[in-house]
Amino acid sequence: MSDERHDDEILGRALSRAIETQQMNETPYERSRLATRPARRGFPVWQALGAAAVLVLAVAFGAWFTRPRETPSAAASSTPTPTASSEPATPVQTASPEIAPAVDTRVFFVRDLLPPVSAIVPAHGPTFGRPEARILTRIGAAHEAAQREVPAGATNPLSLLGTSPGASSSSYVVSARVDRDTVTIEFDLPNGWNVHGSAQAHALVQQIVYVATEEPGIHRVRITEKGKPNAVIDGLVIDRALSREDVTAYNTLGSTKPALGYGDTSKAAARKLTLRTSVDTLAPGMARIEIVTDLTNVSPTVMYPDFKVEVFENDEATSSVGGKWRMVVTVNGDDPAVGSGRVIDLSPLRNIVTTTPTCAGCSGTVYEIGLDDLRPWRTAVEFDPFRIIIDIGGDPRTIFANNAVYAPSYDGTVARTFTVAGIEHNFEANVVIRVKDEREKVLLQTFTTGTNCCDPGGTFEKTIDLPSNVTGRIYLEVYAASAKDGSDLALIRIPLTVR
Amino acid sequence: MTDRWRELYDTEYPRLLRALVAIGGDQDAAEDAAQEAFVRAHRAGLDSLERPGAWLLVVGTRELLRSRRRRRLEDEKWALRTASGTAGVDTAAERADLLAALRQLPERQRGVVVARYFYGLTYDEIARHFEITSGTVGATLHQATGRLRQIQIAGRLARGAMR
Repeated sequence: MSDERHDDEILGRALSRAIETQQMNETPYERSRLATRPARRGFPVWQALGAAAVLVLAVAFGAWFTRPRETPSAAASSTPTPTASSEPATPVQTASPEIAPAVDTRVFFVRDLLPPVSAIVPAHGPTFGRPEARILTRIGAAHEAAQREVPAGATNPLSLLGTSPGASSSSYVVSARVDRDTVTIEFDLPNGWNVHGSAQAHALVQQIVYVATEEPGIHRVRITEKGKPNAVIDGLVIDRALSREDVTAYNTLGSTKPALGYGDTSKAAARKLTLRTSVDTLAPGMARIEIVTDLTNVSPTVMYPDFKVEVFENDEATSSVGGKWRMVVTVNGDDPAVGSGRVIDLSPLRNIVTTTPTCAGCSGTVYEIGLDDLRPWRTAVEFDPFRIIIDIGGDPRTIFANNAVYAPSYDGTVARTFTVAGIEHNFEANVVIRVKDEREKVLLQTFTTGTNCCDPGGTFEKTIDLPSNVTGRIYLEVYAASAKDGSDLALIRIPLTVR
Repeated sequence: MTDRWRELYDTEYPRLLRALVAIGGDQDAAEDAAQEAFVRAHRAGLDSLERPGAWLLVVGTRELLRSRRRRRLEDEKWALRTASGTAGVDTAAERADLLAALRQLPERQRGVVVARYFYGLTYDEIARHFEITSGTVGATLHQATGRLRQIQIAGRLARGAMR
């Protein structure tokens, strides 16, 4: 290839990357013209007239009925934004939420015990201008989101904000004030929070924090009630600014390592790398990044390519990936997709950009992965062909430090024969599996070996055959036996029902 | 049948939208053109499209450029926004420069450049879809990359001078 041609290819790759990494508000298929096109062409005039008449009536009625759910406007940050009134509305004032041009915006919905999941919904406030205005727009968009826009398995506590049994409106007043990386959101709720119990209160706080911190540069949210320094939501006192990581169930696990490097500084390099992803497939709330190499002759005892995993706070203003965190995976190998990017948009994965190291004389492939939040993550390697696995998140109840069990699922139902699978970082890759009954009597104990020990860890899978008389409630325990005294280390305990 | 269209949409829409924004600079216009391209594809029938991705790009580009001619004022507005938004760290600034440079190319060149480097089409495929000769594709790309490089260098120099 001539130098000029080579230069053109480099320029082309840079251009391709520039195009790919543009942040877009994408229209989901359900709202595309393709999905909403008329069933038949040749729409008769009388039908058009009829539809127009219905539309006019619908707008008039809809406007009157929907006024109380009006989205918070995007007034200046210091101006509280009245969103509803119990007074009868006039159609002119009230039609805007349903008929104003909408732009798509990203909000989050919450899941029981798992981190929130993002979705793109229509917003009726401004999505430009001051950050306070955009934050209020997002909160309004989540508040107004239709049930069909809430992903399966998720809920929308913000939709209940300000409502109360018997109240005809969802009135609330909200204002926002940004100070560096923190936004203070003040609520004035004539009808109360309409939250009952600590689970609902936590869910609402979690959703507000995730939605508000979607604003680039905002990492923490302080929730207050009008005239008070704090907020008390059905007994839950919010007295400090909270980040996304503060409001997930992972915050006590402490395994979100800032940086990690593996490999043997060998010269082993993969000629071809392929990156695959999956989200919520192996475990709820978990993304798996799998980098497959073309190397089939390596093993735990033979050199394999260096790789390094690092996580940084993401500067959304300058980064090529979206989200609050940026995972950077460097692998000694070549990926033909270098210079390209792909959008995943399934929480926690935003997008992935494939590049090369920028340091002088460095070689290999760099994957930059945009993440919604920083969940505990863990690595493993598998062989034939050599594969690097990075698991991000998962069910908090089945994670202990760098170990995790993905199957069976927590509180699930199993047959007498079932498979236990997960990731381990244990001495000599040993995994002990024990099954107890409700009286803590040991029904079965066995062990298996993972694909690789210690760091970077390995995966394991073992089929369990329970005795034929076992039914009802059992407890599966997966752990590492201490090399010193055989005691249980990194114990993960999963209740199950045998059918 | 719907599943095939959904699959096509999910696969091609994100790429098409980005390509059209890169070509035109206006997300609203790009969105409109992308949606229109899918509707036209539906009218044409999926089985009649030899390579749907390329087909959508060509139809979307034509639609975009047609609507752009009707809305020159929008271009000026975008140019102002782009100019004010490129300050920052080099990587982001360089990407913005490249996109801005792309938009300074003649309209036909933009489509050909995006088809080649973002869609990865061959010269023959571009020639067939854009109804030009393969030689014209080569010449167009040669002119376009030369111009892009000039604009990119000018942008770097300008940023350097501002530090």
